[in-house]
Amino acid sequence: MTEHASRLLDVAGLTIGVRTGGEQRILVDGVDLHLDLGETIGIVGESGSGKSLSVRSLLQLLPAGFTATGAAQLSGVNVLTASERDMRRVRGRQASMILQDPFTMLNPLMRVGRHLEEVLREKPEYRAMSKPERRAEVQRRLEEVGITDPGVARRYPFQLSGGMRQRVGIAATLATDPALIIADEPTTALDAVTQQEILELLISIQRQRRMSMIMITHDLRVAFAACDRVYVMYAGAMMEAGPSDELSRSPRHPYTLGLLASEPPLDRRLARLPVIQGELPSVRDQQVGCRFAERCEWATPDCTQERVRLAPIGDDRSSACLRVDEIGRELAARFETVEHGAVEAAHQDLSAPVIVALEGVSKTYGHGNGAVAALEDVSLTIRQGQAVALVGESGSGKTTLGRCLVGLESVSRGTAEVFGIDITRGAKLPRSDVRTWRSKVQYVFQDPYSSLNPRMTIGQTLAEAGRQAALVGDAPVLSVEEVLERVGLRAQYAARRPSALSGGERQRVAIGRALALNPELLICDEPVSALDVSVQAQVLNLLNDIRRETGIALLFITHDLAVVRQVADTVYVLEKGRVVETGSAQVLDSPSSGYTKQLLEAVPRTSSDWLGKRSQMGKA
Amino acid sequence: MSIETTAGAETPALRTFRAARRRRRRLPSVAVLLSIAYLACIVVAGVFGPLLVPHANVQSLTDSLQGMSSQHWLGTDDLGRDIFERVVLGARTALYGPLLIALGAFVIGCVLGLTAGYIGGIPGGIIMRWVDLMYALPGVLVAIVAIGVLGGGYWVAVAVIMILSAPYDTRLVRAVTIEQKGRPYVEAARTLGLSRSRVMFRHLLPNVLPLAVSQAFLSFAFALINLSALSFLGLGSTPGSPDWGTMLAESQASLLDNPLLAIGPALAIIFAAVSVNILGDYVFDRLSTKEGRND
Repeated sequence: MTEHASRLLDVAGLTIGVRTGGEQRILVDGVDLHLDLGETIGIVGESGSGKSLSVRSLLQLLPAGFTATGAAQLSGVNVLTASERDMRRVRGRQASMILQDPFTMLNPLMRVGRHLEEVLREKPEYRAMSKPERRAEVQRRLEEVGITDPGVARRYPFQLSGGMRQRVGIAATLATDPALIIADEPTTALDAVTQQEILELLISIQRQRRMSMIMITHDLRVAFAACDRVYVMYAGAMMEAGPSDELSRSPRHPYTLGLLASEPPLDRRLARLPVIQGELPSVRDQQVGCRFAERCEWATPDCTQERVRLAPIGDDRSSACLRVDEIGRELAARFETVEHGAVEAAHQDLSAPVIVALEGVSKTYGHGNGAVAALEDVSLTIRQGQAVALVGESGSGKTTLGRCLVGLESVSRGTAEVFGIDITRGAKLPRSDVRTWRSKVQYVFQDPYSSLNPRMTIGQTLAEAGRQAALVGDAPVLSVEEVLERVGLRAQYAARRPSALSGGERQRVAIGRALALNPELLICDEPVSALDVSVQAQVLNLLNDIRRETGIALLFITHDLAVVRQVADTVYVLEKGRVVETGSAQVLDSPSSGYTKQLLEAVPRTSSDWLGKRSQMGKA
Repeated sequence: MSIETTAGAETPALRTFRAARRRRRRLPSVAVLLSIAYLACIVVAGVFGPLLVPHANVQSLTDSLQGMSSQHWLGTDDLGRDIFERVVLGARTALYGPLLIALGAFVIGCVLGLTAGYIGGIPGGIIMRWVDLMYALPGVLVAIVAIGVLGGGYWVAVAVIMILSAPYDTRLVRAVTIEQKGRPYVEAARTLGLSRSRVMFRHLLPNVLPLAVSQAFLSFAFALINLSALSFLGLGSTPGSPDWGTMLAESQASLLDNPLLAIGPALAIIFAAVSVNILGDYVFDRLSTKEGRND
């Protein structure tokens, strides 16, 4: 705020709208932000908050039909009004972008080295180089992002892992030596361990080159750990801004508080996760005043009278809450109770009958030399009413195991009994057994956007499941209304189609569909990973409630250890298809396997030592 | 439809937005409207043709080969029959046959395509080898041979073309089925324990329909052209009957005396084929956007 000479970017009143059907809709409303040279800021928000649009507008990279107004000065150039010719000079040289999925950013038909050469060719000093010098330059650029294997330059993007691809993406972004790097969800598509490595890499490069960085993320913890200052956006408007450590310790806006609170803690199990009531308003509702008002418990009629903007509240902090002075103490007190919320001990009845018994189960795809083992010698027990978590990174085989249990995949070797039915027999099972199996084990899929038939109404979907339950028929069949009520949706939802529902609502319907069959085991495959944080807490609470009410057993498949802590009694850690550690949820407190320790290390933490420690280790 | 409707919460802005969207929905493009109008004429002419133009087949050798006039809009042919009236009459064979072919190929294609795509295995293999075989055969030539062997006639030609176009529908439906069957909503249906046929016809079919329906419109256009071609070769409709293809063929002798004799039915065929294509595209857009998508 003080040294304006070092100001790199200054945005004031940035407003982005789109014209559809003759109607102007505002997607980003009056955003103010600034960035100094060598500084890293984070823009945090849930889906639909307008965080990506805002930064894209700075490079004039908005989709067709979108218009940006306001003022944005990037090293003296007004980037909102500059001509396309001037923008070409700004993009790359002044500011470069790192995208979420490096696979879509890299041309699949170009080798890694070619990608870098393409960008480097823009530089006169590179064009002046001889061929061996150029090759050395490409190599040097790859080494900067931690790729020391010289063979990588000759590989194609598909031959690299996700983390490697993101490293190449970063190298390509850095090749133009920009003053500002914009990283749009750079680690969202990556596993936790890789995420940590990439963030550390970004920070160390940013420090070495004294660049500025804007990091866009939905994960508050990532932003706090990686950025000097953080901006919090909600539904197209800025809610709060301030230095990371202060914002994380004392939020001064009800939304920030809600976000921080609904983040499940890793170190303890809460009796109930705090939630932000309600859902993100639709962009079609262009309400006046504070956009968070309808979900805010401190809202007064004044809040929706006039537009609110970020206003300084001292200590380099600003908040868009009108009542920040009145409720500041209340917010602090609430935050305190969240930090020390009621803790619940994991409890389980180890004398309950076993419902799933796997012994030495393996699953291989393909034949002969090309065979890939997804599961190797896995043994697992689930008892009635127990909540078991399967933990691992992508490729660990956790989803395959879940799919085997429900019959979407077949087991290659080993013995597997589910409710006394030998599921290894697969298609050879008698019809009655298949029916029992299907009714007792149900599955909730990761992606609520594709797990509901888009052409059936919610009512049709649930009624179909109900009819299926009647076919098996020992328990009373739930009506569509009862199912909707159980998952916390109003009866009117029956007439809607999935396209009219938000992600959280769809996941509730998917859970309801599974419950309609009165199963005794519910397999949840990353049920909250596609959802926003505030909705994630709602769904986790719902699952815990259902478990308490019905005594259903849960198999929770997830990569998120904080989520595991909230729901699981027993944990199985999978690495490359093998169980490397198992035990009660206390495994998370005192892991014995190195892999589990690594996973725990990688869980994003607000404190800056989460990233610092490892980069120091890297230097040593 | 996707907006939370609580009483009284409807702002004026919301209302205008909705109205704008309804208006946009209601108004298809001019080309689509023209296509619909033209096809409607064909349907009316096809169904009520003999009532509309009862004297179309009356010969009057004194009036042969006349040009355009207020009495004969497109002039007369060598037997003095009104060309326009005969084109109107010809709508019947241009409508019924292609419609039957498109519908038949659509049904065959959906059943076989869903089976091959969802169940696969040996039945799928058999179906797809049959499709390959049909693809390998030169369509119109086979039709000519088959009709020659079976003795010809309009309905034989219809049946042969139906069997020849079904593989295209089958292949398309199979491809879409394979693309859809890995989606979680299909897997969810399987884990509910639904029967194969229920998954196929209740869950997959509605999601395959947009493409299959637009393919049916394409088959209609192809069928119209193929039937006309066969009639032109004297293998479809019986000579002398008011079929657009037959009329084209029979116009050859007097083409130089009255070009309208060829232009009339030719334009009728071209407009019909183009209209069906345009309408097919439009229907596809409507089906695939209308609440059908997941996002």
